[in-house]
Amino acid sequence: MEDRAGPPARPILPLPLLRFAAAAVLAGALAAGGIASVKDLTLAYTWAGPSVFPSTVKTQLQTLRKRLPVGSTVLLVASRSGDVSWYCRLFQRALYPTDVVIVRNIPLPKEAALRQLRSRHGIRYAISMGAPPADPGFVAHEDLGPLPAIDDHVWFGELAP
Amino acid sequence: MRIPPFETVLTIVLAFGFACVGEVALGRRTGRDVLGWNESFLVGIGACAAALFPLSLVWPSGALRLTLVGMAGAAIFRLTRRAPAAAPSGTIPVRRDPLALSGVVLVALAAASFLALNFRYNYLWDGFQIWAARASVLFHEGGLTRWWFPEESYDQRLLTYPPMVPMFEALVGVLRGGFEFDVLKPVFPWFFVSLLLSTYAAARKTAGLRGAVFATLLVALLPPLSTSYAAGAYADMPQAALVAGAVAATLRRSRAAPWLIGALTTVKSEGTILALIGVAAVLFAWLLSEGRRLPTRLAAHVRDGLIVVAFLAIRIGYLRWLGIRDVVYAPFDSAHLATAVQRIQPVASLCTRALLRPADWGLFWPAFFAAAAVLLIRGDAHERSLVLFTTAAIVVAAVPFLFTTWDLELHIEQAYFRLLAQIAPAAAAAIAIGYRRALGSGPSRAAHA
Repeated sequence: MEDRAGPPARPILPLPLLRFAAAAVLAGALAAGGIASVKDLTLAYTWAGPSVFPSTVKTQLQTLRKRLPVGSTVLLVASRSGDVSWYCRLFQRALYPTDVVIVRNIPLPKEAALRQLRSRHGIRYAISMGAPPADPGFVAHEDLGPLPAIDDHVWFGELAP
Repeated sequence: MRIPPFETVLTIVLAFGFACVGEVALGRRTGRDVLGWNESFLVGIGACAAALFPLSLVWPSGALRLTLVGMAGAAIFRLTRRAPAAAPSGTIPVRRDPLALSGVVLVALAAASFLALNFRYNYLWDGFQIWAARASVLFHEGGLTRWWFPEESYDQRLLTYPPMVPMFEALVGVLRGGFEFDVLKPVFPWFFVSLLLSTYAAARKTAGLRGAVFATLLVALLPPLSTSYAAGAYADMPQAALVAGAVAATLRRSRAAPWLIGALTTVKSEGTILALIGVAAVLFAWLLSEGRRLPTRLAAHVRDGLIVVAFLAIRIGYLRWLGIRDVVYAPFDSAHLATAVQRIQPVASLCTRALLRPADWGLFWPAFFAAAAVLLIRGDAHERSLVLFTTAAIVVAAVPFLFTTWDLELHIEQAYFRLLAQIAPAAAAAIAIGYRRALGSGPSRAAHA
């Protein structure tokens, strides 16, 4: 692990200047790393919950698991605003592999295309997220409450045949 | 989130299994050499990630289990072979050098900060929606598939992402008997520690103890590698760990080098480009050092070349098997080429701004360019190649933005610093080595002429 023997060369710049440059780089690294770490640690230890699924979402998912027949394919209609895209994927990933969730953003496809999608996948149920959520053709729907930290609500229901 | 003790133990078992696969691949048995173990871990996890695709073709629902069987076999092989006699240590004990010791303490503090963040932070977007979600699919399907969560086609491209991080996460699920999103964070400290060890190893031989600790500290303190996205379970920090490993193995002339260059293809999509840059860097170093002997050298390294080619072939084979076009980038036709040419100036300007942002980098990149200038004058062939191809990687990482279909400023803002973070370990080693050369130590160009 020793350094290779090479002919000694003169410093490329005066030594004090080189040492000052090294100290400046180190100080810059300590400042950038220190500030970012303190900022992130404060954020994490103030706001981060014990799970990627907030307790409200866990309750909503439990309700969905009770209502949905095992092996269902569900349509999830999502408004395009803000954090809904995070939540619709959170629901999609959480319900997999028991149930498959097909996400479609608003505006929904035309009725014929939607019918084709439903018949292709045997979709009988839908989840809708928005403020207020869109109605993809529910027979009746149940409001599962708001999503954490945003105004959007989650509706669930059976679709009209 | 909290530290899940059981799953943390499982990652220790898995990391040992990966290291054993690496030991078998390298045909060696490492004793009490933490840098050797680190190298074996990276080689092993890279080999397992690459093997996952062929195994998925052989047994679509059992590829993960086959991987575990392979790891168990490697562990038995490793445990039943005699350990070599301990090599005499050529390093100066850190405790005799107060400055190096101070650096090690700061590295330990930075690592503790990363651990505290990693286990407390929830997943950020890609960490959950892409990487952990892929792990979930991998766990439930048993191998790589063409299936992805159905939505409006855009996310299909996520299937093209390489499998190393999801494979590690999914294997935790296999060993614990069920997949749980909230217990996967223990996989990331392995990559972070590996990143630090490899950066140290890359700089140690030439930059000396202090220089190696300095390089490690620079990497440990970089916000893109130690906070936010790294703690949010993104794969950029693991990709940086593989880059650090490949650079260390290449500079140390380790036989792990072709494995680690090839393994770059198994973490993130851009790893394939990094692997090609790595190959070019090695060839260029050979050309610089003993150009006349290049054909002989190439002939002597055919086996190494085949290892890299095998990794690249698996990656290309996987992409062809999927047959998915990435809609984030425009096709390479004349119309889009014209747009790309018009974008050169704004892309260069936005990327330079991202490269010099003090909050992300401090003085890291200006220091790299200064070190690059020194090494081009005073470095040996490998060092000159290191800085030339690290610079090439900085430029190449900006090229995809010329073809992006996203808002240009937004895309660069969100992605370029993460690409830079992946190559930062190479730059950190160059900074430490460049400083040593600037002080007047080691070979000069005249000495090599």
